[in-house]
Amino acid sequence: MRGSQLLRWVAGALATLSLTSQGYANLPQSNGEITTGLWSSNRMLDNQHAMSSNRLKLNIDWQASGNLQLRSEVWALSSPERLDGKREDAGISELYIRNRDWLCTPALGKKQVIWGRADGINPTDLVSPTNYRRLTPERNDQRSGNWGLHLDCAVNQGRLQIHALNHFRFNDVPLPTTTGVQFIEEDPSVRPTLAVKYDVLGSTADWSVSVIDGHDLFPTFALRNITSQGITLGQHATRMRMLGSDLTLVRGGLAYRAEIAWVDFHQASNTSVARRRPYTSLIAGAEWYLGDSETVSLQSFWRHLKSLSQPSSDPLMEQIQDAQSLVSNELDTDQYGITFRYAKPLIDSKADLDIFAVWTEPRGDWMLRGRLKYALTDNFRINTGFEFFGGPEESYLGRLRNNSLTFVEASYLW
Amino acid sequence: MTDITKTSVITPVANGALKSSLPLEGYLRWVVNHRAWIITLILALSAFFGFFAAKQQVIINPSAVVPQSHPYIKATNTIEQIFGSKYMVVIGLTPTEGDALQPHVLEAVKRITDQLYAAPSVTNRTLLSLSSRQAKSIAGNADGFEARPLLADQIPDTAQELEALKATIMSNPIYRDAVISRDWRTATIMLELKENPNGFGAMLSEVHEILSRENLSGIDISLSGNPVFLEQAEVFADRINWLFPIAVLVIGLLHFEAFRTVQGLVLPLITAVLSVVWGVGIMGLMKVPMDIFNSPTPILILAVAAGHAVQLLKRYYEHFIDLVNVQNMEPHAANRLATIQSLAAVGPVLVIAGGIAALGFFSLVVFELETVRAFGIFTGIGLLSAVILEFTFTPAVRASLKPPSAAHIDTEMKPRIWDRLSNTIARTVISSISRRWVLLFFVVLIGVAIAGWPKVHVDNSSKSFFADSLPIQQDDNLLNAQTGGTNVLYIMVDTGQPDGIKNPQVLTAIRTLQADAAARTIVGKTLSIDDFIQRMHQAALGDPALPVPLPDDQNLIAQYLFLYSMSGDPEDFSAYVDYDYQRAKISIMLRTNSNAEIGQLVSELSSLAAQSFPDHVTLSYGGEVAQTLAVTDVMVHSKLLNIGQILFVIFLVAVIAFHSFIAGFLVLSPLLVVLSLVFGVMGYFGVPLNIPNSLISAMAVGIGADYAIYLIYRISEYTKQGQSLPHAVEMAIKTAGKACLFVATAVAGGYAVLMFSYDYKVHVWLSTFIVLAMLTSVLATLTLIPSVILTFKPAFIFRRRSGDRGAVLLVILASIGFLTYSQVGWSAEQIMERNAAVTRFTTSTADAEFILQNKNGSTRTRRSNMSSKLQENGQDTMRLVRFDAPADIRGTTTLLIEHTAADDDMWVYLPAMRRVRRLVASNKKDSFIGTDFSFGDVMGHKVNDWQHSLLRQDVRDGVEHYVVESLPVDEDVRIHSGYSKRVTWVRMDNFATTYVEAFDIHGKPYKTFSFSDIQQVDAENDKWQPMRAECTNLQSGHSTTIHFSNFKVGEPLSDRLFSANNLAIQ
Repeated sequence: MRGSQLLRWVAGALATLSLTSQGYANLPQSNGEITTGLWSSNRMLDNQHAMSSNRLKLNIDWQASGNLQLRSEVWALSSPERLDGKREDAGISELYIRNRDWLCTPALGKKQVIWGRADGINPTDLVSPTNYRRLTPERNDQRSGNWGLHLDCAVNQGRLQIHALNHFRFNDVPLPTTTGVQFIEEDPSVRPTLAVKYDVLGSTADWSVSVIDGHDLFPTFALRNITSQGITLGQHATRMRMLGSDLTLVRGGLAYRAEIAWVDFHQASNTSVARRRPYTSLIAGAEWYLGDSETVSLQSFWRHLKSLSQPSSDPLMEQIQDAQSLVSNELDTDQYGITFRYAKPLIDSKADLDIFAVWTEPRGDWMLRGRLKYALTDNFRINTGFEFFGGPEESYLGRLRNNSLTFVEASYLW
Repeated sequence: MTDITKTSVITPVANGALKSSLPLEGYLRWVVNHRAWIITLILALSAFFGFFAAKQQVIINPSAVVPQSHPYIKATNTIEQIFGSKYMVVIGLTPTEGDALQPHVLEAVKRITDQLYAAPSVTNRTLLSLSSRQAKSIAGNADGFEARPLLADQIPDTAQELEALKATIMSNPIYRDAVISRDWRTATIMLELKENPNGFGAMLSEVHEILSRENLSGIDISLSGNPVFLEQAEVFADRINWLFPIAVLVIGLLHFEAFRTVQGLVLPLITAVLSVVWGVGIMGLMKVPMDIFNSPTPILILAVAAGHAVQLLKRYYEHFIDLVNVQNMEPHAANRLATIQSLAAVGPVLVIAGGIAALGFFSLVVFELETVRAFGIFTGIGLLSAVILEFTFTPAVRASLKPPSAAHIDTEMKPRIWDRLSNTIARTVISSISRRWVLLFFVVLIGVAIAGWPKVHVDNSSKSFFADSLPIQQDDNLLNAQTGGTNVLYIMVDTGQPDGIKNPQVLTAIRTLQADAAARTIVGKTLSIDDFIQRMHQAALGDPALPVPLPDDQNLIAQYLFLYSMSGDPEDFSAYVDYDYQRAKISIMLRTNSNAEIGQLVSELSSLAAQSFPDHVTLSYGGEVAQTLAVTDVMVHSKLLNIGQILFVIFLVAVIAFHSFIAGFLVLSPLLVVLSLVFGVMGYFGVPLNIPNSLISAMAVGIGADYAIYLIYRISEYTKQGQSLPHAVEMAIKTAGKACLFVATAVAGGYAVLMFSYDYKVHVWLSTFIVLAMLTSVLATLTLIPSVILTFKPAFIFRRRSGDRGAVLLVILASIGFLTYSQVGWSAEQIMERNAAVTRFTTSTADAEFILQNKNGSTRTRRSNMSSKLQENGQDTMRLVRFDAPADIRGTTTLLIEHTAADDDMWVYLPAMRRVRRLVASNKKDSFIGTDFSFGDVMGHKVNDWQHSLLRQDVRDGVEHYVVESLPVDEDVRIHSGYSKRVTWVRMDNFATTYVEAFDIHGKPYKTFSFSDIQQVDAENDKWQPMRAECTNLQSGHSTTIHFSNFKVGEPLSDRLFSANNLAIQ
């Protein structure tokens, strides 16, 4: 959203709040977190080592009246994640007002839409973008919201979410610096996205069905320019439709989770845009609860790509296509693998250990991630961990080997 | 012979057309007119009760058979808590040839020991055998001494190695008579079992399984200990399953002999069987199991109910014959009218007699022993059920059956042995000369019987329940001869301060006590921590030829223990001393379980201890033999109280019924004869007074009292009809008296069946004394009472009887009174139900602050807002907790929805993930949000998932409490809750919990919970809530304190608040 639009939005929101609060407003509640840390590598697929990362996150929650609420989450950081080489950046993760009294609990503004019940890999979670380059231990801190109108309606036993999103943003994916290739980040102006989900948290099982009519969050490479020095690639937003579902069942000491998504792409008519392969992605598994809050999760996944018709005969486009396949994990017609997680609270629940691993076939690429969070006090926290990627260069996870890292951070929360 | 078929029929009386002012007759008319409905309703109720009756089984709940407030029981429970010692079992392995130090015997010992370690029902730390972990030899070396396992992992198999083992044991005399007999022939394994509310069969099942897997040729395995005897008692008590049908058959045959008609056989029996079904069914409904002491209840109810039915049937025939033969009524009409008239005539007597019998049993609620209270209540309920059935089912069925035929009437009127017997008795008492001899005879009989009373000895040893020829007796005899003994007395020495046991003065006193005990023939072995310290001292000195006394040096003793820990395991002494060395346990193994001998031992040891120990040291006595002494103590006192109660109740009812004190004494007179005879026979024949036998007096009095009531009533009736007193007495004896003879012989016959259980003395004693009591009671009633009446001609006999209503009212009120008393003081389950109800709110909201503190004292604070709402079923709760602090969990919300019949549902909303996640909620033992409270602790443990026993009443912080022990009903509950036992202190005034002790699944102390600042949050519904709850994890040293504030109850909360679908938008 452009700055002027943002200003208008804020003015309108404040006006609405002022009119409706009628003197019943409570004081805004704020909380936040300031973090500083050392990382052995960044997530930019360059050869930079040993860098610092500093982040500030601020949440404001204002109950303007009995049912009217303003929520915002803003951030600022000094960390190597921008393609232009600058370290400083700031932004809004969420900023919306919500009225719980009206039908369908409408929320207007920027709000994160996070879907999926499986553990770690969520095929249906295709609404809110992720900044994969951000140096943060928490995947959630890499997400940002979507501007639009968000409705949450009680329908029968479940809730119907309808998101009409008018501003599209791509995932920020790490791209290696390649000689002769310039990459331009651009958020295109595209038709609004409509995301609908019916979610039921029932007495025996939780399940949902979701539909998205929008654009794929992974950028599609588009050849913008060819010069003697090289090429310029831009980002094309490929039309995407998704139909998905997820399920959680608990039986005795086990929780079973499953998620499936069918994704179809509308290929760009322009031949200078890489092609995208529609796919079906399924993940399912179980979670065991051992002892006191110790959990083990094991899942298997499968991703099947539809064949592309009329592959490009242009060698340059073929290379761009290969790069695209690598970036958006469209290398193998059938990809399958397992995920494993072990989580355990330690030291009277003052510390949390989490280990997550993914192994993928047929290329044998893998990822191993470990986290150890320790709360020194209620306000101070130490976070340390690692991420290792392995496998062939020409594999989705293997290409991220340069992003293998370890880190230690200290945070103050209030 | 009267041919009633040729009798001219007068105008038949239409059903219900007879008018009467008596409400009883009106009720009976209504029953006769609606007999089909009555029969259907009774059968339906019987089917309902029968369902629960069928589920009953015989078990012995150990905590139900001991008086929980007795000092010996309290000490036993404390010893169990600290040392894990309560139910000792001894296994002996004796080779057929040679001694026990042979490789194959040692291997068997090791194998069995290893399997016992793995058995959940065995307390590991007290397991003692040649190969157990704590069995270590203490041998001197250059550094002092070292501890080595008595039996190495590699079993010695050469002669040299075996000799070395023998030498090791000889140099460690602690183990002689403990793990191997003095003559080396028997290797012993001593183990302690954990308590199981499902009885001793459940406690011993794993031990039996382990031993049955051992196919040892050439080795005899013996098993003994009190639990073994009590397990056998459970098995034998199950014989009631086949004894009962035989009793039914015998009683039926006697009835057939009495009536010589199928109706006479069937109708009383059916009524009696239904009474049994109702009585046992109500027991099952209220989840009170049958044990060895109340397992004869069915036969008792059967016999008494059949007796009442006989009285009723006899009266029916009299009325029927009169209506048909004298009043020439049509037989069908006469059938119905006779049914009404007989019950109207006998009804008040039946209620009073049945009520007196029931009250006699209800009076047992004063016993502190739960098993005795349960027996009293349910026998009483069974007898009252019989009365109810006599007023509903019997008249309904009787009116439905065909009227007796002329042949039936002829049979009924034909004189038989009962008539001859009653005639003889009548003639005897009517003659003034023989009357005097009768009176003199009874005076002499009572005198002789009372002379035997001092010889009565109280002995509750379970060994005495069985014939000597049984294998368990032979095993016990062998083990008592070969080992230290199969019975154990524990003495707990409490110095009141850490390291107090290391005080040389205390150790010397312990040694003195042990030496005194060991010098007695009944004591086979003594064990204490002093034995080990003495051994360390001798080993450190290089095993001098003569033992060197231990110096009075506490530092030296501490050093010895420290030195031991270098090579041994400090846990080796956990069976003898607690962790802080504040308390020590002395085990005295006994070769006898005679109460008298053990009682004397305890008394003499107490005197010696008072002189030997320092003033600040307290001693308490526990263990199974001490438990038996406690039962003996309590029983004598309670027995005397109970007899007095029963007699007083009977006296009072009789006085009110007849408006005469003389009548009251008359009714008591045959009972006094019975009581004196029963105790006299016990004294002369050496039959011990124990729990089963103590019930006999209550039973005899309860059953026998109604003979006197029936007879006196009948005499009174005849005199009112204008008969002369002698003729009235004669007629009464020939009618009511004859019926009493039927009943007495039927009851005696029914109980005589127990003689078939000849090797189980409990059954033999019961049958012998009941037969004696019944015959004495009926003969005394039929001779003594008429003799007194004819001699002294009391005025009440001639007065119009007007006390029926008063007597019935008294019976009803007394029954209600006893039942109410029993409810308040007896049902642990009801206490826990009320306890759960007190904190079950329709809705509640509160702010809660959780302070988590680790063993180092550092704390974390979590603040939350909690809401709860009771679901429509009134049992399950929905609970929402939203955290406000600390910052890293702010906004985290958990929702827990309870389901009684299924797994609970739980979701957590994590604001950072912006998602609601369903979690597994089945494991109630999991920590609630990282606190020491588990989910089960927060949601509340379901009452029906636990078996509750009321241990005692206690004063805590100046307030009276019930102390209730709760054990899991099955393995699932134990595993999912994480507790093998909970002991709860419940306030008697408001049923709120103030303190809980929880034990982990291995039986070790795990957590304690304290609840304070208990406030009434809903006065209208009597709801209470502690505003402060603290949980301390004894094993980790962590604690959690919850402070509640802004606690509101009953405010409307929408179901939407508790919907998982709304978690993310709240």
